[in-house]
Amino acid sequence: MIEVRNQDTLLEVRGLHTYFYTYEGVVKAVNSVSYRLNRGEITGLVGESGSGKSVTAQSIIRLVKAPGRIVEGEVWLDGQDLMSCSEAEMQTVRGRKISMIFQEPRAALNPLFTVGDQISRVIQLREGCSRSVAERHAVEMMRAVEIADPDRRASAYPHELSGGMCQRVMVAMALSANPLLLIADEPTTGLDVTVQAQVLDLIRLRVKSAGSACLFITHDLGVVAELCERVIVMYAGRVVEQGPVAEIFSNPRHPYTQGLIASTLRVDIDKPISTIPGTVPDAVHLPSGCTFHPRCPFAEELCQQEEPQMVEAGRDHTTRCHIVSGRIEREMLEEAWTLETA
Amino acid sequence: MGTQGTSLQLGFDTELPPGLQRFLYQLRRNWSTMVGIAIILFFILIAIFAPLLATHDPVVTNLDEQFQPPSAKHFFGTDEVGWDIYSRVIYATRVDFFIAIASVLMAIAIGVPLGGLTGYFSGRFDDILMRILDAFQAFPPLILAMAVVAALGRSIWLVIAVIAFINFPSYLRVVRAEMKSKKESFYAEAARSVGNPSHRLIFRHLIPNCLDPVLAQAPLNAGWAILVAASLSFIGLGVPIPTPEWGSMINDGVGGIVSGEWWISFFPGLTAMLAVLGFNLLSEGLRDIFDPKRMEM
Amino acid sequence: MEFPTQGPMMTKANGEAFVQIRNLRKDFPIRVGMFSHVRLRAVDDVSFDIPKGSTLGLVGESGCGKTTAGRCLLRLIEPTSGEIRMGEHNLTDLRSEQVAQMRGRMQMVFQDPGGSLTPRMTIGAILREPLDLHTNLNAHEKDQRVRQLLSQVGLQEDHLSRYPHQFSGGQQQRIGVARAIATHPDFIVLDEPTSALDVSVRGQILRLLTQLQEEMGLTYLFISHDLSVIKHTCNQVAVMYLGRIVEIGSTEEIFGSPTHPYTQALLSAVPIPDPTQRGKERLKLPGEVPSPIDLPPGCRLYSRCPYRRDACLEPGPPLLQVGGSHKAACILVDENIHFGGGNTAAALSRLDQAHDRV
Repeated sequence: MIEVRNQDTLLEVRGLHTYFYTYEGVVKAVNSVSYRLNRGEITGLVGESGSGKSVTAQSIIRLVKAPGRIVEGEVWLDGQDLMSCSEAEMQTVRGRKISMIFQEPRAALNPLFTVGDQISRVIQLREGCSRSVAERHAVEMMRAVEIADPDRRASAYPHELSGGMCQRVMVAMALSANPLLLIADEPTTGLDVTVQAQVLDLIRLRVKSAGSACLFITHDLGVVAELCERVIVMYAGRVVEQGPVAEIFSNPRHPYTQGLIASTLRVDIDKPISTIPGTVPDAVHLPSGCTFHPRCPFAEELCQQEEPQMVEAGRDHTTRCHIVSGRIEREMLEEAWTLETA
Repeated sequence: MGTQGTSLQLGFDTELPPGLQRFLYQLRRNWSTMVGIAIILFFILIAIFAPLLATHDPVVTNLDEQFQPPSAKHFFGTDEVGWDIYSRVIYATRVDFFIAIASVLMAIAIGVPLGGLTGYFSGRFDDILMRILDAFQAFPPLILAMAVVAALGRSIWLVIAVIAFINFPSYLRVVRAEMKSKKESFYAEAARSVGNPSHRLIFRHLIPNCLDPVLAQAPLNAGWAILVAASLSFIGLGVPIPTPEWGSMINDGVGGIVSGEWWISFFPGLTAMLAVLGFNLLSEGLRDIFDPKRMEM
Repeated sequence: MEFPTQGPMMTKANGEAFVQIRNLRKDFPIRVGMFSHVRLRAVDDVSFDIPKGSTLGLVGESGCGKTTAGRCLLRLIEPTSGEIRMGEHNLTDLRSEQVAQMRGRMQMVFQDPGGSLTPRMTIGAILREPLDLHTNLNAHEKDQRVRQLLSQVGLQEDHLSRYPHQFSGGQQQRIGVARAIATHPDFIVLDEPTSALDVSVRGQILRLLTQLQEEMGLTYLFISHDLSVIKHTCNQVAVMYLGRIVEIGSTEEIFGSPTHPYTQALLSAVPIPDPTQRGKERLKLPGEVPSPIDLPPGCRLYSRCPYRRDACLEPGPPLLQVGGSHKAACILVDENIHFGGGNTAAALSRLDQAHDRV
């Protein structure tokens, strides 16, 4: 790994391993993951189901559900080692320094309290202000996330609001804590595109104006391209490529990233439907060597035998591939993804 | 078309079906269930090998050996007609387990299809049936059982039928509740879109998927059936004498408790308690395993 | 009911309309009190044709009625009124037993691939079922057909004795597709068939569906909220909003020159996976989809439309011809604002000018 400590770095994850001890065997959900998040930047964490992207986020806030366990690794937030924090300290971290937005906003809101109540409680907790001040502040936060008629909506219960509205409330709640880091786990996945566009605008605006960092977890490359400055691509528990968004999209180096970009359909361009052959591997019995080799059209013998190391592929751009590192000499042709694969 | 690497997503290609493997695995992790199963198996073995285990004929009276306390000859002592309590407790296992299992099966056979149908069709039929059941269940079950047996006479089949009749509403209710959610599932709709007529949809697609709570409840009802059978026999309305049965044996020894012959009631009582405990533990474990809210491993 | 005699308008030149929907309507009563109901019009006066062997995409956001429309088409739910024709059959006239017999010819692929397979049935039993219900094949022939189906969708024979939960999402959807094509149907409603799948697997299923369409001459209704999927799979597109079709036309027409403000907003809200396109012009609709209960008679988009005017509150608007098979339900079409083809951006800038004038 490149050991540069940028002073803009807010969060640094080093060598994180989170395993799940299941009946079928050990699932290495997060396997030797390292990355940095910078202040004022939105970093997209991209991967398919089972890639370990959500578990990475849960590991940062140390809320990995049983039978999962953080096996090793370091997480530094603003100079604080989160792995050695006590549980009480972690609660403060979760309340004040890191906020989370989830895919299911309605499930994350308490159905028994009005949304205004729930936001003002967060504010009260952080500011230690009176209830009425917190309530006024909550209405302001709701106005800030473009909820129409916030005075009236503040006294609504979650079930009275639409999914998009609930997600705005979640954003308001997450941001009213004024967090250093916002973790958004597929926050727009269940939403309609027109509402998604609104929520994305909102997250971008708020993160930029607050100067906080954002880890945006998604499976949608379109969202990443619209929103993020940096991208981390995960596959089967490992980071396979990371770098600036423009670089990753214009010059993807890992075959998986290439396949993912190729198979993402676009409304603005006509192109044949591309696809990555095969399926995501079984989490317990990961393939040997490079975990992507059974699906990779460029794989050679070495890929089966030896796991590739992270290598530099450009400025601030790293990837994990034998072809990029030069151990295998081979050209990666884009056409590979549109071919019928038997 | 791209064939998919099957070896990739299935990690458990061994002899047993994976569902069963997982089931056994969860069973192993739950000690109380294991104890429950051990107890039940123990009783089933006793029932099967009763003739080998018994030391005396359970129904031959021996007036020379009345009221013998437990000894090497009569492990659990004898009663007022000289019946060997031990041998009778052994043989009673056959009777009581037969009652328990037969009554549960009969209750399931009535409750499950009826619950499936009423849950599926809902509407007026459902309303009427449920109100009848409400009224029926508001009646104390033991008194109901007494009334039926008193009216129709004593026989083991009647006991089984009565217990089944008391128990079937609980199966009907759980299956009905499951059905109400399962009939809205995507697979029910898919089955309908394939062209399945209602009866096929209900009996092939839906009812098999409504059985988890039934399986969890069955052992509990089996244990309860033993108690009801014993209670009926205790008040003299159950299995007719001289068939050995735990309840009637307890009844036989009630007088002895005061006069010092404690063993006559004690051993059948203890055995019945152990059997019910076994069923309850098993039910508890199955409930955990089938609970949809249980943590995915 | 008299069927309109004029020629099919939205068909490809060579194709004759195979599925014809006229004035389809579906109301759901919503209980508001102990005795009172209000009416939720989920599908409102929807008409379209699908030529044999082609695909019509029904696109819209949640609650627009596209799923209800798809189910009405197959009579999985009963339409309130309207006419559905498939080939020579008028489905609306059939009694429910007759519809059950027709099910072998019209099928559906569901959104949730795992949830649409009966958990306690093996794949073999699931695939044999449509054959049991709709064919007279003997056991051996059924067996052969099931094996053939498996290989058609790219699965192996040893999968037959497995249960649905033992498969990945992509494989489960292949099974769903195999079940749908088991009885050689003519028409399949695809209800968001790929929205629950991973990006890398989605392409596999889309290719499979396209390939089967070519091989078997299938006619598809492709329901989706994902415009990029619709663009790559459909010949024609109908855009729905609050129960009504607001725009309909060939895929090129809809994506090349979207005319209805809603279609434009929908298209411009789709994120483009290309960072260089960031910050492109967008038509944003304020607010959210209003409640579909007791809607006013005018344009459904009125409350959110940036170009609205008083005339929009009049009942209607009807689908007005934009050009060719392309129609849009917007009175601005008549004012020539959207004319001249061109791309979204051009249309948008014309709209912006219009907006400035308004």
